Amino acid sequence: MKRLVLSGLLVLFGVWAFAQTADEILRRVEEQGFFGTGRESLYASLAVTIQERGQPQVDYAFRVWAREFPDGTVKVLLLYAAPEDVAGTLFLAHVPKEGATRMWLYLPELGLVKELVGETERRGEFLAGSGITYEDISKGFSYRADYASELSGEEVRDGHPTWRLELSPKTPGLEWSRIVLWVHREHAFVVRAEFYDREGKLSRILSVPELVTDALGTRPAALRVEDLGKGSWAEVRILEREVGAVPDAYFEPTNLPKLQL
Amino acid sequence: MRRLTRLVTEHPYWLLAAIGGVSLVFAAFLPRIGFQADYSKMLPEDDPVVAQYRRTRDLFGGQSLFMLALVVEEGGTLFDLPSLQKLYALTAELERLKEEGLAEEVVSPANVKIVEGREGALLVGPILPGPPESPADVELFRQKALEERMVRDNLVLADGSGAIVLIRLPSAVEGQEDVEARILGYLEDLARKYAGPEQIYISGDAAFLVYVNRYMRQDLAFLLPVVVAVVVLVLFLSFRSVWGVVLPLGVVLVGLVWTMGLMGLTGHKLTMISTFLPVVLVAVGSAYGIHVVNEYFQRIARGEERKEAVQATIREMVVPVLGAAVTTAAGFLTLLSSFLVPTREFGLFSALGVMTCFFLSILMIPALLAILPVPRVRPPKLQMASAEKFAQLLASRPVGVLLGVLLVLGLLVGGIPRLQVESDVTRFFREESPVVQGLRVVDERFGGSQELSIVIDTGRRDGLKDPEVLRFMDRLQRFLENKPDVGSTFSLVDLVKESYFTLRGDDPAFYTIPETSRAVAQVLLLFEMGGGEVTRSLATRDFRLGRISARVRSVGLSGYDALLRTVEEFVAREKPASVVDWYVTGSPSLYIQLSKKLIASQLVSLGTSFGAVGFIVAVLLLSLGAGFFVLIPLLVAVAGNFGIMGYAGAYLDIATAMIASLTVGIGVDYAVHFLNRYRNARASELPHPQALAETFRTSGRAIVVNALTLALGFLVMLLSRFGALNTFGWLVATTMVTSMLGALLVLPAILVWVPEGVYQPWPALRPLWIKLGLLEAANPEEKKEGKDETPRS
Repeated sequence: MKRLVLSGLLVLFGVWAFAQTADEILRRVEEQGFFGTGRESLYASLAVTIQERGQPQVDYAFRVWAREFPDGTVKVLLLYAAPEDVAGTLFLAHVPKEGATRMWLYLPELGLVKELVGETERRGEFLAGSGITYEDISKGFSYRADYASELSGEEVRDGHPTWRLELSPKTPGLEWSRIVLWVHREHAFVVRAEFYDREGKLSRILSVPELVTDALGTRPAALRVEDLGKGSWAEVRILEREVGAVPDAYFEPTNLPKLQL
Repeated sequence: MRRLTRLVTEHPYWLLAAIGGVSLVFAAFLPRIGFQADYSKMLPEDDPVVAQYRRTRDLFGGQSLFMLALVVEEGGTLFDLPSLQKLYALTAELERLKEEGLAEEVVSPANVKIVEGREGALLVGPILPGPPESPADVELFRQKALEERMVRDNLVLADGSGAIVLIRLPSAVEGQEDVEARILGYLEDLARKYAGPEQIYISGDAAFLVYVNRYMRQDLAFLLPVVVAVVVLVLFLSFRSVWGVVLPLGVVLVGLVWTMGLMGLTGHKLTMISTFLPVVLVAVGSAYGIHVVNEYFQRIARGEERKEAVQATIREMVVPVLGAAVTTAAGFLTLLSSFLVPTREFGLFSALGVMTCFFLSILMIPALLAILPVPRVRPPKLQMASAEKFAQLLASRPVGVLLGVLLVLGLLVGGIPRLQVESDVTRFFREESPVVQGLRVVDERFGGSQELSIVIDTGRRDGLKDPEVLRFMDRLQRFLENKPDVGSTFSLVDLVKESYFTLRGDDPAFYTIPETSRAVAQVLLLFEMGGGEVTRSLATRDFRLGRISARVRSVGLSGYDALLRTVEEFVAREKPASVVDWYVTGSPSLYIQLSKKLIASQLVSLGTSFGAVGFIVAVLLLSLGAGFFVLIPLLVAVAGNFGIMGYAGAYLDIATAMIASLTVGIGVDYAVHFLNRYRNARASELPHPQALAETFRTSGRAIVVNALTLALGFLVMLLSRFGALNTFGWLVATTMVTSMLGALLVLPAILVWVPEGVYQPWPALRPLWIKLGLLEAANPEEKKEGKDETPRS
């Protein structure tokens, strides 16, 4: 979950620029982040729904405060709003420009703050059953290092004018044998991505069901991830976002039990 | 009948060409036949046991496990650098299965996540961050592994003598024979690669299924030629003629192609039960050809012309062979009442195969005889010269014979109370087979080679986080772990307690369930955020249902029943109101419960088969008395069979429960042949002693040859790699001999006191049967009435 906040939302937020070549388009896509130019601090409200085959639907809701500090450290505070039994739980992360991330969790029912000494590398899903991997979350759409890209055309996809990018692995053994991205030509969001496994079979689809415009500009209303192999899907919806000053106190571990949010 | 005999004798080439054409069509479908060893697929979809198993599989993922046990040599320890490095390397290779979607989870001491607290921080991660590189790493591993309740004696033996890796299959892979075989092949490769000085054993229910499939193939490839060779030998010794061998065998092989081709055509697969269908068909189906060839040879020996002999053979043999085939088919068809799909399929295709062999015996053999040169019939090795003496003995001392039989039978029946109903998967295999060896090691040292699932349903979202529910699950786990047949258990409870304990600074007072649901939820959240995962195998995503996994030893039906009863008693006593439902499932549960039902249904079908066979014989022989008397030798054989099983310590299980029904179906043939001949002889106004002598002279040899062929054919199963089939083989062989003795000893001894009218055809239906050519006219008037143009010899 913490990785979602740390980097995953780069997919959902941001201002995107025009670009011409595949590499330039991909670079622009990669450069987009949670904290776009001029946004030192930001608040957002999110909802996540996960549906696995044969399993009941599970819903989460979060409120997120994030701020970029002058030394380049990004600090994120996440409040669990739902489900009810974990509501009030706080998750705090300090992500320095370089070095290890530090994370804390405040459990209101037990009145405890615990630092999480995470593994240096995580594999698998960031939220069980979501089909969204830690790698997706931590890298966003950073495929330039591993994949060669080619602009294969311009087309209207789901009603949006898009560039169509074909990505192929530079070295063998990568998880995906082929990735196809559709990047919005005006806003430079990825509005759809298709991932093909080593056997060349379409395995996963990322899509943006809808675009909305708020005070900060146009953005995807949600990101939907479908795991075709498992028959599961997850949707991350942005309910609200705004730019504004977030107090320093929000990001101090010792303050967590005292915060009134 | 006249048309039939004319068709066979006047158009033999057309008939043979047609049979050849049909055979080619069926042969084309032979390659389509596959093998099926998945229990759940053998069962009807609507069976509640299967429904429960499938529901559990859908909710909690795969229920089948491969287990790989690494055992160090005598005096060695896993806690040294080379052995531990080997365990890590092995685990890394096993994890590739997960990457390829062939395993849902791989749980090893090298990758299992444990919860640790470090100065106000919490870490959920593996025991070591990577493979050990120094003795210090080994010592750290040893300390942590032995401290950790979820690892010690569960994944790593406390004395350091071994470790085990569990590979859980994804539900999508379960039952896919080719995929499971590929996984087992991979494990065997790894076992070869990493064995020495440590030993590596493979076990788990998934391994059993693959081994069953593998052995089925090997058995089929090996046993079929052997049983054919046995039949050839018996036939040659009996007839001392090449055609005497080729014709009955040819019928069986063509019948086999038709039957197996039909299986391929209709998409049916061979199961552990139907694997021996070809063996049974060769043994059973050859009997019809034996009787037909025997009749023809006798007629030729008496100097009849070829065409006349062929036509007379058809007329003479169609009723007894039809009777034998229909009753045998009926015996097999009673298996259709079984709820187990493979048993039903075996019953259906065996019945079809038997009827095919009948039609081919009555059409193909005469057609071939019609075109082949008249054979030079040599006196058989197995002479029935003593038949008349034997008949005289039976005729003169029926009481003595019966008393002797009753004495022996009484002794045998005395064994019936010793008979035990049991079903143990290990008995499928021979003791020396690698799968049993692996099972023994895992059962004895690692607490169990099977996994049971106990599913707890709270009926509400997040109900599993209720401390009352968790405490109940905890008590149930401790209760199970105190049972001698249960090794270790695991559930969400263990994660909650372990995390809470660590969260509270490793204070033993907090190795417990937190007080509130919110506290439980937050402990679990912390566990997940710290790097752990509440896997699908432990709880549904909404925490409504939870699963306790219990490793159990291979206890068989009786042990499982006892365990289940105590669990039921415990749950009835301890279950809180917040648990609305619960059940036990898993591969062993599925197998055991099915075996129990199957055995019960087989015993019911035994009664059905007696009734069906008696009825069919009564209809075919037009006599209720005949229908009754043919059952007497079968009663002797079936009672004897159960008694012998009792004395021999052979359990009544999934395979042996079928024997009684098979005996009724197959063993009735001898009585039908005997009675048919005997009453014909009596109808020819021969007195009892002469009628007996005539019957022994004409049919006695064929009956003995038939029974010996079947007995030897079934004894071939002693060569099977399945222990269950070994027992099945010798027991069926024994019943073939006892039912033959029943027909040749008991029936004649009884018939001396029975008035002829009791077993002779019902007079009102005689004209119709004579008209159909199915019965011999007793006098010229009857012959005229029946318009039988070709009188019998």
